[in-house]
Amino acid sequence: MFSGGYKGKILRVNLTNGKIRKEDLDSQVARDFLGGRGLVGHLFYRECKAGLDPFSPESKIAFATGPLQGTATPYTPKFVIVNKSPLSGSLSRSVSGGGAFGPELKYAGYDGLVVEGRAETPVYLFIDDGRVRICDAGTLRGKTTGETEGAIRNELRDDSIKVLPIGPAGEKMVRFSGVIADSRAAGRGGAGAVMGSKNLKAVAVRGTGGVRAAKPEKFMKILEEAHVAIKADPLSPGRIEYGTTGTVAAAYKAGALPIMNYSRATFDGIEGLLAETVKEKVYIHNESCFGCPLPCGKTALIREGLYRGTVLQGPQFETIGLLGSNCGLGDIIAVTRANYLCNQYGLDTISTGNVIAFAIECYQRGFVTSKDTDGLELRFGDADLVLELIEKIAGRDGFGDLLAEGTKRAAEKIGQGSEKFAMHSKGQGFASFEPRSVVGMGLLYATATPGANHSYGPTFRSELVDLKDPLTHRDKGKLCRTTQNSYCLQDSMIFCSFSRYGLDQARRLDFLDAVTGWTYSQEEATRVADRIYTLERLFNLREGFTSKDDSLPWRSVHESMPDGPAGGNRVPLAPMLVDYYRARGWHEETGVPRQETLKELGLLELVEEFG
Amino acid sequence: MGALKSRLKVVDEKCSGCRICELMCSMIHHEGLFNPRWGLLRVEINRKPGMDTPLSMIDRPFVCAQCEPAPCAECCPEGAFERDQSTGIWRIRRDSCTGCGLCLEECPNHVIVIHDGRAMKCDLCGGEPVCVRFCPTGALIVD
Repeated sequence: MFSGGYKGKILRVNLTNGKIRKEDLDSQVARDFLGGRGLVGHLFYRECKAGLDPFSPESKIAFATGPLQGTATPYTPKFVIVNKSPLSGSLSRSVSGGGAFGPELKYAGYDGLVVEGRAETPVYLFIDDGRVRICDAGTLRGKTTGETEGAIRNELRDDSIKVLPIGPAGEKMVRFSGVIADSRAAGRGGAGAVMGSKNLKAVAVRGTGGVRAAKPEKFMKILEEAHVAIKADPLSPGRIEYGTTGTVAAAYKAGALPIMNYSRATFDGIEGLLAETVKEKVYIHNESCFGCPLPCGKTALIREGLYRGTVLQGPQFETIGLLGSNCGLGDIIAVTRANYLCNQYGLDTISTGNVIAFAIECYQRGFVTSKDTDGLELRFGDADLVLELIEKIAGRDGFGDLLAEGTKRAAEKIGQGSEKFAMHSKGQGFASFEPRSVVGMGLLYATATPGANHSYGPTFRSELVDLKDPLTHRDKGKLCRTTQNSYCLQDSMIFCSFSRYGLDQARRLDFLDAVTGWTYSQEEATRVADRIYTLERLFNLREGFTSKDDSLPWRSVHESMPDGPAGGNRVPLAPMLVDYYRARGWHEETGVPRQETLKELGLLELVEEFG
Repeated sequence: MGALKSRLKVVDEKCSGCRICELMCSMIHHEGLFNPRWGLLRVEINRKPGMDTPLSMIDRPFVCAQCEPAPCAECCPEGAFERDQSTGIWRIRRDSCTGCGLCLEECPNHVIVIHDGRAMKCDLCGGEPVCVRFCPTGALIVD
């Protein structure tokens, strides 16, 4: 039974036949998998048969909260979207704090929403407490994310309604399109494209109920202490002043900022992308996500030039790395505009910057010519080119149609050995960390459930600060398991990854106790995380993935870093993988979880029934 | 008429729109129930990505000003509002309120809510408002 936090209900909507069901959430499953990513991993492992095309009607997409959403627990505005990734074919979760959708879903009475099937014409879903309607979205076709949010609120005549829209890119099933609410993206893993494949333009929710903590007095006490700890964290003021952009300088100093398709570590335009520049040129206001005491979000405004008057939330570290330095752009105004276009069209800025940089390198190497690119001359550092390619990708127009398939598929079509420079793992493009300079990030990219997704447990800080050894394979296997596990827990309770400012694991588990009434020791929490991660592994293995897919492109493992602090280094993937599999209790060569590991994690029965 | 002892005040430019004030207000006044829409103050979030969207007051709190004269009290057909002479705080006598909603419409800051059929308004938590206590940016103060 649930005594706090959870609503105990999952809403299930089938868009093919219009059936709407409210199902009970099994409290034992919630204890074992917490919520969010863990809960949906369990549900999908049981329900999704292997080999389905992510765009087929039978495929599912889930929007899930954790037990903490809706309370005033710091750093808990978020929700996750889980789907089979159209980029990699593996399980993938994206996460967003935008628009307070997660808390509102709880107030409406649900821990999660599962959508199946495909509507014949564009629709949006309106969850109004217990009343759930599938509404016509014909007039929203082709509208940007911002326009869609506004139009639905107007139609429903309530500005307090939370809306999760896709943009035109999602409708056109651009494989790396995301779901973007209030300028905040659930970007990676193609959730926007999957919604598009279902003709689901948006999900809107209004909730007038609420969420209660199981232990309100304890909650008040630890909340007060947490607020003090967050204020006292020496890193908090920098976060409030610069948001995530402080990481640009840290990454660059380590040689880990991606530059011109991950080809080098030095960049003439770096000054234009540093935190101080970004703050001075575009940031105008500190924005908190819902219920968050650390306002790291920044309202941005372009004040002059061609794009004067552009208003958005951002740009942040990952976007600056991918649409900035990775495309050779050192002009924050251009990056801000590119960020804005991606948000409005519903594109993941990371994958977009990744595939554009790949295309430019292909052009430089002569793999594609202006005949293939609709006459465009592709070169690094060309702001107009980046903006034009974003438009083309979003509209699947000409050369953009090829890039809309993502870096892996584009490389397969272009051929000529271009896959050596296609910077992805399992089809998911690298994020804003060059793995040759921080090799644990390479291990993370190779072993993260959906492919190269940094937000599955970045090792960057630990390698630099704790291990002080970013260049060798030593201790990376163990470290990667630890960081991945930490993200498993935060994605399932659900905390923001920035909850590290002032909240250590013990404090997070303390909030879990105050809200749910369930205590977890550190050991139990680790076991939950191991369980979640290993079950995702089992899902992928069932789909046909093997250890050979835990790979990195040729450049990362065979081409030495040409310059910077990691000059001469390559990613020592093979020895790291062995250590990693061992740390996880998986077979050292095949990467298949061992029987005793499954037993220890309580997964044996599940595997026997659904494996 | 006793002098006004204290009331909530807003420092607009400090608000970052976290809505913790509404969450905690809801928790305290609704027996532990979290939902910002039941808070007895509100934060207007005016974040509209787009071209040339207005940028003044992006995140803006509205609180009960314990008005004098108080439109909520004056319009109430049941005379359910009473003022604490020592603190200056306007309260609603729950037994007298019929939940007609007139006071909601008259409140210039729209910070009265009807919950479970009765109107509720800010009572300054008896002197130490929970919204001020948990505001992380100093946007809410007791004046």
